[in-house]
Amino acid sequence: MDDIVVSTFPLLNLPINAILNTFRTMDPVQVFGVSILSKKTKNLVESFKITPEMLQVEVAEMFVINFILPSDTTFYFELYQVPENQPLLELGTPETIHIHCNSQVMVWTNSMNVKQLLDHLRIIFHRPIDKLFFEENCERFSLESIHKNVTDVVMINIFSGNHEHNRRILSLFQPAALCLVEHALVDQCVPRDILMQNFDLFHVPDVQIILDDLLMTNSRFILLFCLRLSWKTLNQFLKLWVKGSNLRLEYLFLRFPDNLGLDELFNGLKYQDAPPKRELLKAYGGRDIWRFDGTQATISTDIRDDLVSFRMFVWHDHRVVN
Amino acid sequence: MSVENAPVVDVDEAAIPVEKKMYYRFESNDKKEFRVSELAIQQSETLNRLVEAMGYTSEDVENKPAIAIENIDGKTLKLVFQWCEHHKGEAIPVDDGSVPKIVEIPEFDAKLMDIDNGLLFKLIWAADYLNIVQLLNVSCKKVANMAQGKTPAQLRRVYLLPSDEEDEAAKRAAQEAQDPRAREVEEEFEERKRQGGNSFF
Repeated sequence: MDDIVVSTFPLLNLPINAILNTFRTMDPVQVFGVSILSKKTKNLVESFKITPEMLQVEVAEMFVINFILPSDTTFYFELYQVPENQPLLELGTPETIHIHCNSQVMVWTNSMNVKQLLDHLRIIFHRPIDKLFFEENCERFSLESIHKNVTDVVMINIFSGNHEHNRRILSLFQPAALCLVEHALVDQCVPRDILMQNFDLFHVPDVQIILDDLLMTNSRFILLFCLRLSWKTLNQFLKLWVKGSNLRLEYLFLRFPDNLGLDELFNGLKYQDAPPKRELLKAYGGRDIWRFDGTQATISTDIRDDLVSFRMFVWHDHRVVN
Repeated sequence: MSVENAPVVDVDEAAIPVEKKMYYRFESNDKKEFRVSELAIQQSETLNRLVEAMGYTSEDVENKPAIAIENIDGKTLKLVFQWCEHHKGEAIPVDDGSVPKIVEIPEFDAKLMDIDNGLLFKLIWAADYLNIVQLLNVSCKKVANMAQGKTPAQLRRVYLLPSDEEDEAAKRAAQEAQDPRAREVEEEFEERKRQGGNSFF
């Protein structure tokens, strides 16, 4: 294969603007390939601040590093594949990397362990690991070795239906942000011991939730797409918030199928129309309510395609100042 | 070279508006002269500013010496001006900072750049120096295309990328070349260390 390479080009002797232009028009896989050749090329690629929109690690029966690029380019590294009934796999130094770029697959020999590879990617692409996905069959990999190798993760997304394993994930990683999807729910509900944990961001698409669940949710930013929810439940939630529930809550977003029911939502609550536009958190209009200690919250609602969007912004002192 | 003998690079007369039909004369560092239309010059930010600042009339162009471009040779400049004439009047692309940057190489450009890598190298330097945005885009894309389907080892060979050890050796060689005494001092220091001395002085 090496014999095919016949002509050479002194890339690093070009003006810096041309080197940058060349890297930017190059397939990302080759940018990565150049970056691993020496400290100099790594620093060069790093200095160009080429940044994907997202860097993700996906653990299922495969271990994959996925890059979300602004264009439609598909780009991911497949490091391991563990067939059924194989012993638990510890992450180490994969001998080869299967690189998928658009419809092409290349197999490169590799000398970096998973942590070194992820650290390298985080440095050259100027991103943390935005999302770590645990999907079906993720338990084929040693959780401890994933924890040791995959660090600096912003958000964990769990799709797996192995609830005991999911609890171990949360206990080991203690993520600041969590997203639970499909099988990770029990009868479409979030297990309560998870609801009670202190996440900065908690997101569940397609969930069945009741008042007690809402009251138990201890996260600061909550995004729930609910299968069903009534205005009466929300009215009760707001009344209990006024009395002091959900003290950490800063932003609650709920989406559920219904028609607008503002009268029912604010029934029995003291409120005031909010100013038409607040700069923070895109809070436009709505109604202000106050907790017993004076903390203000703004509630805004709108409806699109028969889906209600309910937003509650809590104006904690630090949020108002910032 | 006399004005009469200066090559005029492929000009499509019909495409040039009457009021823009003015030609400038440029001279490469190996004394080759070119006549280039004002509209084509607009593709180069550097040359466009230069001719604007000079404020030449048609008579000036004929009577004054050709504008010297001292760091580009005739062979390269010919390609540059052929490209500018072909693309004259086209909008200069604005960089939106996207990655990967999508650049298509038109058929004309592909034929123009069907050259050896040495000349391509010079063409890119010229496009950068003359600030011809789209010529720089397509020529860099051609260089980027050389990487397609290559493994890291092949990329190292194609782009002549040195290893860490080679970089270190080059750095040492450069330092030694800069200060011929450095090697002597270093050897003396090593010798004293071998003899067990703690201090160099």
